[in-house]
Order: sequence, then structure tokens, then C-alpha cells
Amino acid sequence: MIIPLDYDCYKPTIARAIISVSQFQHQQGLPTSLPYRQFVPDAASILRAAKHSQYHGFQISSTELASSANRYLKESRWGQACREMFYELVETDADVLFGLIRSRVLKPSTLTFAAETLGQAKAQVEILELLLELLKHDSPVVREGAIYGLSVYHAERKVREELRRIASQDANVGVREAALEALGE
Amino acid sequence: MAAQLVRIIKRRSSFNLDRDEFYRVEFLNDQGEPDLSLSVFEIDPNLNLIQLQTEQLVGIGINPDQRCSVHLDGLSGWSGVLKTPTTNRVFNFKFASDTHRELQFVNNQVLLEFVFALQSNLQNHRLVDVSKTMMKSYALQQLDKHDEEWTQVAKNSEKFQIWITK
Repeated sequence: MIIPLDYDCYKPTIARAIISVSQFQHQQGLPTSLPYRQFVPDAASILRAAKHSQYHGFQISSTELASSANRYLKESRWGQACREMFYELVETDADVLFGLIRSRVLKPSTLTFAAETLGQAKAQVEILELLLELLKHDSPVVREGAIYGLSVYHAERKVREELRRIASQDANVGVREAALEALGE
Repeated sequence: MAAQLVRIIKRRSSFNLDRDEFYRVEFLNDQGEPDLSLSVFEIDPNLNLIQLQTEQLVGIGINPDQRCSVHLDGLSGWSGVLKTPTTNRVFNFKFASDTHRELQFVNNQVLLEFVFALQSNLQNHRLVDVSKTMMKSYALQQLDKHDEEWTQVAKNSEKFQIWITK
């Protein structure tokens, strides 16, 4: 995989061009002449990049993301996903937490807390979109966790619409109650 | 009604989960290990549930701000040991600290027996929900009364200041 080390500093179009050239050079076995270098990223780097990939035009396959997430969890000091890890990540490296959620390797029983905790990160459109996706998750505890995670976004029209839909239609009474209370109506 | 043991649960949707998922959501600690020392509170829910949930919510940092509780009265088929923690106060409030107890289990198997006993009859153990509005109203009443603990919280906790006004 090739990701510019400081991809976040560049406009998406420039980043996309840099990556394309770098990938081509890498595939051809050519040395990269650009100041952006090919490197073998660690699991955390790949997880961080997941948040930016759709906007910056590079692809991280779901397999690669899942294997990075599993590696990250296994090599962490907890050896598994847990709330303490999420609390620490949201303070220190919220993009990794985003990547863990995006990777789909978390079970509903931990994903619910990851979603809730991610909502404490600095408000960002990518986080909003991810939590909105989780409102449609099969597991009711995940949907409930996403409602809590969205608490700072409750004024957003899109969020209120979704909460209204859930409050009236969700199959789980606990999730409906959580949505209703979140709406404060 | 006499004092009962009350457990504040993490998810409202837990009432509809299967046993294994109920266990994983509600009874693993922050490190992801079985919680062999469960926090419970010995209170009269008719008198003190709003106070307890509000103090506990604010004491742990208001996230999320919606929870509900179950009582453990009449629950059989388990063998935990009830203890009063000897450590320092874990909450900012005397009432929540004074009523705080720990249910200790010798191993995960004994914890599972407790979890399954509770889950099999969970709806009957559910206490009346305490809404966010009720908790805010309680906190505001305490501030109006110039309660020392709540005055300190209002002064020092930015999270509380946001929560109480939004």
C-alpha cells in the first residue's frame, strides 16, 4: 500500500495524483522521485487512513482494513477491543478509533461503545456520516450506541430526521426510547 | 418499600438481547474482562432512584445521559457476595458513595449464573425509567437549594454546565 505520509496536508486532487504516480512507480519497480515515499504502514496508519480514503481518492480494501484492525487489537496492550481502549483513542488518536469502527471487525457488544465514544471526538462530517450509517446496523445495541454518539450532532437536520424515523419505526423498544429522548420532543 | 439492590445498566436495548450478548454488553469491565466486582447501589428506588441516577450520571461524566436500572430483589440461583467498598469515594456525591456496594463473584462461571438468572426474568426487574428531564430537574432543584456538592459540580465541571443548559 502507498499512502503519502502527510496526505492530510494536501488537497484531495493533489493527493490523488501523488498516490497514482507513486503507485505506478511502485508497480513498475521504479524509484519514486516525488517527495512522497512509498512505505509499509503499520496497522494504526492504515486505520487512520480509512477516514481520509474516500475524500483523498485512494483505496483501502475491506480485507486490508479488517486485517489491520485485527492486528491493531491483538498488538494493543489489552489484546482485544474494550471500552478503555476507546476512551484512550478518542483522546489521543480518534482517527484510529474511526478506522476500527469502519473495519467492521468489532462485535456489536463492543461496537456500541466504540460508536458512543467516537461521538466525543471533535465534531467532523466523516464521524457524523459514519454514526448515521450505524443507526441502520442490524444490532439494536449498536443503533443505541450510535444515538448516544450522535448527541453532539442532534441539532443537525439529517440527524433529527433519522432519530424521528427510529423513534417511530425501530423494531427495538429500547432504541425507540433512546431516540425519543435524544430528540427531546 | 425497603432498600433494594439496584444495578444501573448501560443500554436500554439490553432488555431484548440474547444471554450471551447481554453478558458481553453489560458485564464486561472497561478492559473487556468479566466484571467480577459489579457496582450496585442499596437504595429505596421509590424514594431515591432519581437522585442516584443523577448523581451517578454526573459522577461518571455524563456519557451517555440516558440509562435505566434494574433491581435484584427476588433473584435466585446465584451466589455473589455483597461488600461495601473500602476504597475512597468513587463519586462526587456522598449519597451515591454511601449507598455504593459491590457484588463480588469468585469466578466467571458464578458471574454467568447471576447474569443468566437476571436475564431470564429481566423485564420483571426493570425499574421505572428516569428521564433526562427528571434528572435535570433534580440537579436544578439542588442548585436552587445551594446544595454544596452540586454547587461544586456546577462550578468545576464543564460537561455538567453544557448538559444542564442544552
